Amino acid sequence: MIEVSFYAAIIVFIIGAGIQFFRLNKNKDFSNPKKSNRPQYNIKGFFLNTFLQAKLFKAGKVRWAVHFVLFLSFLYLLIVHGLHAVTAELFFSDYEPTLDPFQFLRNVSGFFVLAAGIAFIVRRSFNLRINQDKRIKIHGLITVIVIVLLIGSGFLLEASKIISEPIFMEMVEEYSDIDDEELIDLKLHWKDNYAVFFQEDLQSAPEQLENGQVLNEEYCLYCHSPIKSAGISRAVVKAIYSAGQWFNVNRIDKALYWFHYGLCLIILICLPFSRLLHIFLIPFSSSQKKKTVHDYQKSSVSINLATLYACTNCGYCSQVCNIYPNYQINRNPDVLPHAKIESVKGLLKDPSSINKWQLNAGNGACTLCYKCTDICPSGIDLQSLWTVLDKKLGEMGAVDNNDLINETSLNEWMAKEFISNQKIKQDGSPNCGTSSGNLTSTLADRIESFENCIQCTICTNVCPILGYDSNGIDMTPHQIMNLLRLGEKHLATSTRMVWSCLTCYACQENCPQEIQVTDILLELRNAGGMTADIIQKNKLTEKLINK
Amino acid sequence: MKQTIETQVLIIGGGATGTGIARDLSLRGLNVVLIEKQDLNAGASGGNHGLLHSGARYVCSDPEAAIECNAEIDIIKKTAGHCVEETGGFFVAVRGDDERYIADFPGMCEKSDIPFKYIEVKDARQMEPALSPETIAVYGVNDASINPFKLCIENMKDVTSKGSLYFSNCILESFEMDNNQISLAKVKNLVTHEAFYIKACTYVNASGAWASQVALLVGAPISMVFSKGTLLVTSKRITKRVINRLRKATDGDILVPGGVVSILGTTSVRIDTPDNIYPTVDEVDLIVNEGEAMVPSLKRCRYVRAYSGVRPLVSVGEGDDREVSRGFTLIDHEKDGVNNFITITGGKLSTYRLMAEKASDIVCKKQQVAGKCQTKEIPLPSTQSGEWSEPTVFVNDFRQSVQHDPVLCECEMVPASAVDTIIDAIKKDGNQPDLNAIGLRSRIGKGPCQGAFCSLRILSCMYNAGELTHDQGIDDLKRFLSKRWKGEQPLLWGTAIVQSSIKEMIHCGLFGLELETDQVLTQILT
Amino acid sequence: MNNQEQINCDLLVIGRGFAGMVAVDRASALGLKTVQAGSSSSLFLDSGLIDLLGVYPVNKLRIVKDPEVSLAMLKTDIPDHPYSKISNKKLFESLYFLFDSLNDADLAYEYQKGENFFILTAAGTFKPSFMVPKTCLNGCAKNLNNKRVLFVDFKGLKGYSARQISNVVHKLCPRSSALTIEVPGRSGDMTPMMLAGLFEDDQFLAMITKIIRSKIDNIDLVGFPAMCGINNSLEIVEQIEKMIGCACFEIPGLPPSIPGLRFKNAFEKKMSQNNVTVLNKAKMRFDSFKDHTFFMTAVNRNMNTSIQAKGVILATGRFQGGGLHAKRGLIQESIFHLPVYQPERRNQWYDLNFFHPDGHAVNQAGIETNEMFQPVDKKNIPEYDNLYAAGSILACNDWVRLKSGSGVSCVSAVTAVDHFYARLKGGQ
Repeated sequence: MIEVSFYAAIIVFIIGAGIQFFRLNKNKDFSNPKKSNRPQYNIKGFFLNTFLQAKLFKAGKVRWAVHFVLFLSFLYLLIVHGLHAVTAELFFSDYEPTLDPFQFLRNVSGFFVLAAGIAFIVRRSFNLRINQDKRIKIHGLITVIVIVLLIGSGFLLEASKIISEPIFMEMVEEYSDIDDEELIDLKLHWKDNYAVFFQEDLQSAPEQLENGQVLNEEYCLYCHSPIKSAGISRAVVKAIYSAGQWFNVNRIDKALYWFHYGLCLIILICLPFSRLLHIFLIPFSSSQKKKTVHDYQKSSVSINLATLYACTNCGYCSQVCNIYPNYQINRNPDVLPHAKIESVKGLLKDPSSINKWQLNAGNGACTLCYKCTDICPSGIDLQSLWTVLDKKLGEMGAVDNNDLINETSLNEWMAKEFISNQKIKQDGSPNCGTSSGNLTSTLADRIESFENCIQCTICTNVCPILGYDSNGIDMTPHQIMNLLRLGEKHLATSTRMVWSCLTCYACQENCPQEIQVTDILLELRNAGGMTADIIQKNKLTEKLINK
Repeated sequence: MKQTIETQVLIIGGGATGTGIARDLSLRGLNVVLIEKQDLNAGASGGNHGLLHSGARYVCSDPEAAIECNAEIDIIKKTAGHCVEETGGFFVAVRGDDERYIADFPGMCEKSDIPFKYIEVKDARQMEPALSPETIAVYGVNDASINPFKLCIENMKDVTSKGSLYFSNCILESFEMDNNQISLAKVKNLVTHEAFYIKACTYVNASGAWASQVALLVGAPISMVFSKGTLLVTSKRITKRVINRLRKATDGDILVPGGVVSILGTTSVRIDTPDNIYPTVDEVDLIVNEGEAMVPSLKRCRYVRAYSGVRPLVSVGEGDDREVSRGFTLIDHEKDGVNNFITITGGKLSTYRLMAEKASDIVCKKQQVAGKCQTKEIPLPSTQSGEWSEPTVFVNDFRQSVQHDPVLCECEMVPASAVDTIIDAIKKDGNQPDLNAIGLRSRIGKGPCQGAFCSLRILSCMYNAGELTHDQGIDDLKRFLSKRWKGEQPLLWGTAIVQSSIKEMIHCGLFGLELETDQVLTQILT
Repeated sequence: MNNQEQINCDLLVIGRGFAGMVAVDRASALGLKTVQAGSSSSLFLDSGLIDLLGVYPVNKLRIVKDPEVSLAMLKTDIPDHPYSKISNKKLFESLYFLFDSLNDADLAYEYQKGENFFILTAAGTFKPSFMVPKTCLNGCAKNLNNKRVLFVDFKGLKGYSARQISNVVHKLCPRSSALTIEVPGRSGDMTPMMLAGLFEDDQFLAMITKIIRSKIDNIDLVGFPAMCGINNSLEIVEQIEKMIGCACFEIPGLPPSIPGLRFKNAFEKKMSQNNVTVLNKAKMRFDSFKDHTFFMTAVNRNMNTSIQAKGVILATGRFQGGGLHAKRGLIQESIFHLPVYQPERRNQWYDLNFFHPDGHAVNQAGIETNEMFQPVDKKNIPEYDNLYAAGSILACNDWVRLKSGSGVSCVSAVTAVDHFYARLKGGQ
């Protein structure tokens, strides 16, 4: 039964892994098809990052410590405890689960996994990370909770086995030939020293105990270390001892065994589809050859999309992101690498499920500063991903908004105001610039944010874009502040200034009236993205109809 | 004898009434001349809310006026729709307002046949989020806002296009009488100081608050009182609709949206003469304090300007001038022994057309012309000359334009091409373009900077176009800034004081405009 | 993000305008550890002319030719004016300190003892000023008299018309003329900053000088808008002079003003040389005053910085700088809530006539100080030891009308720093 289910699970796992592999392989053309040179590998990176998690160490010491302890402990449990049927024979011929050091080590590593798992859960649920997608958050939480359950059930299982009278009786029958009197002595000894719960009321006398100890040494000790070394389980025993009878009568230990084992199989089956896949893919992504600045300048930048699944959504990339302030203003999650990578995954699965202008706007704001790639603990080559994504989005028809604005006549643009307003009201998504919860996202709607303008035109004078290409700009920053005051927010979203803004913050830094000029421009760009999306959809439909 | 212009009717006064009569008569086929001592809308026609009353405000104090308003508002909406914004209006009572007045209001409206609608406070605050949380009752009415400048400019444009004449900056000096008839009017141009004569069959005195002064020239006494009302302009539009306070008419109880701004008013201060009026600090404080009860954001919002108008009220009365009838007064001076002279004054902007109709009827009767009033049916044509006075944004498709059109007034986004159009129009009427005349016909100088920057930009354009020579422009600039200042000085606090500091830094600090240019030169060179 | 950082220093200068910059410069020259904090500098709006006293008495609209003579009158007439608190010697010393300091930062100015310059402005009027950029020097009234001057403007540059200037100065130089240059490839608006950038380009200079030479013969002087380069303006003007073959000058006009920016750049250059800590865009909050030390917090969007300073110079300016905040009816000092000298009621703030010769009463508002520029209460007792006020925040100082803005700022800033320094050294 055990073996059958185990092999069945293995087969399901292999099928699952196969499906995933096929899927990842199918999307290979997402990366540059003209890839000519052979893949090169980074052996050092593979070892450092797989076994020592070196990049995670670089990113955050505490998180590395917790993760590394979990990693080692789990590895131990898996190899020595879980697969002992295989490994014991190969490595430790004297393996007995109830003998030290195995009993002790199992408890210690179980404790570490449990502690680290709980630390993960606490952090995941309470620590507010930058824009964590709810679904991903829950997904991650479930994964860790399953692991915590697994370990927890393991401890409970061990405890229930310790107190189990039926198991004691089975053992006695199998491994000894003692009579009833001696049995009572042994029971007495085991009751006191091994915390077995006996139903009958055992009266102890000193000589009986002594005899019990002798019997124990004779029959049991070579297989049973004292339960002192099973620290955690002993604590659990204390907790469940009063319910010992119920445990023993109902053979809860058996149920727990199946539960524990079942969880193992479930984890195994789900592995290819869960975020735990990173266990296999981080070694893969880390082994990809490191690119140089020179490589990024080449037009043939490519990325193996399988590495995307090495992402654990840890969010380090977004913490260091150069254009994080951009996100603070426009609340477009696709500005942030860790959210953008999820959108890319979504794009691979179902292109229609992704708001392409939002993704394009977010990716368009990327400065390719390499910071995210540098920090990524999973070793994903994000820099290449963003470059490839830019091209792909273009091919998929996500027009660069800047071009779209230039091609759209003002009349056409203005006609879409009503519709985009309506749309904002309907979905009320936080990134459309009108969410009431977020104060920074409504600057352009609040008169206080621009009415202090005194027309000094400093913002316009310090704008590097105007200095560089004045002909390409129709309205200047201070004129846009005036447009807002005149109630022409929608008109303002169509100006080239809004779409060409470098977000260098020179205007905002120099404004003597403390107006958040750049923030407002950014917000307008985001609001305009809405309209751009609608116009583009219209254009596509028109094309289809004409065809 | 100097130049004499002959015409059928001479109209004195270029306000809403005067231009209205001019249009009415010219539609009846008469030739008219209109003279104005300043420029269009210099008096009360330019110094009001720009509100087309639904009549509800007068249901208690003056039911007759209420009915008149109600009838007129529909006609104006129909015939001069491009000057009107159909905003709708609210009557709003807040905690502490007279409960009896609130209770009586619906009944009084019904009696005068004024359409109104009861609105739940909750809904009203959703429709107008700026309303006070203390609001206790709201009624919706048919109020609308009107741009009086555009109205008068368009009226006058229509008149001049039919061959009649308009003279700005021309003051009536005297009448020559001949046998119970005025035979000739002596007119002086205040800019060139040249005098000329106008001979007409009928003379219409539509000079509003100055009606008694004009009538006195023929020895006809009119007993008038003058009531100054002050209004404030906010830097941004606050409400969609007209907001009236639901109580007995008093200070600071109407907030009218006008394009991109809102106008809050008004006060009522009895004054001796209609000349040289200006808004005062005390009036501003009173209006803001009253207004904030209705719309709390009026307390902290930025105001760009205040202005005053004079209500010409023909009456003798005690108490608040608002209790004097807002109905108009039409006087045929036959009773004073002048047969071809009539005076029309008083009234409201909302009823200007009716006033013009009645006055024109008398003129026709006097001239025995069988003209029929057509202003009810024939719509007012919309021309370019009026559009720049509209307080909205005029942006051409700036992304497509081949020719660069610099924005001269950046607060209100008035481009150079608009200024050129306006200058041409002024010159076509035979008048001298200057900053004040351009300002009257456009939004220039009406934004937050109050002319600090745009004045110089326009001035340099005018010099470049050869409209100005020598140091004319400096005087022009000073006149323009002085005029703007009158409306600016009572409301300088917060950001506005920062803005005005910059203005003073530029124009006094750097350019030294408070000094006389000539004097400075002589002092330097000696 | 609310990181807390802490700084200890000798002197905290609040304000990034003219007075603040001079105060920091003086303090660094004396070797004090200095921190400057405040909102964005509005020196970009400064004309770049350093006035001492241009009009006195104001209500007689009398132009000051010899500032020393008028200063003596002012000191007897207005005992509360900042100038009246300083000896003439100290006053000129301060100005010369500024002169040297600017020279150090490669910004060449010029002054003449006992005489004001009368500098041509973009409106065509003349402004009396004491110390002027060398690039403006040829544009003073004396040099223009009856000369054949060519005024140059550029297409797209709004609010500056060569024709206007040429027309308005007609009486002084009737043979003046105007020229508008269209910059190829630039069809839109031209901002001062853009033009100043263009002036730093040799090709552009070659282009404009070619046009100027070809179009006009027999000219004595050429006047440009004050936008001839951002930093090395004097070199650029000299280069143009060489290329055209006659003297040139700059004409200051509407803000934003490039000469003001040059000021800012020069001061900032010196500050970075002197290792002055600058907290830009910081709102200052006064926490407490204990043991002769100010505890303040600079509040920024991303960061709060606590500052401990032995002394503070308050150079936050008037309404425009944010030092004084005018509510509807009351003027307040923004940081320390010091008593503000002001008209009793708001209806006395402004006169109905914008150009009233007396000036507006609200412009007399400000902080009253003793001879050491320490803000004082009604009983003439300093509010805090080691708090000094400098610049346009000082009361009884209508610098716009007196044409004395930079002079008052410079003189009061230097004097205040010196008093603080003397006190610090004396106390040790």
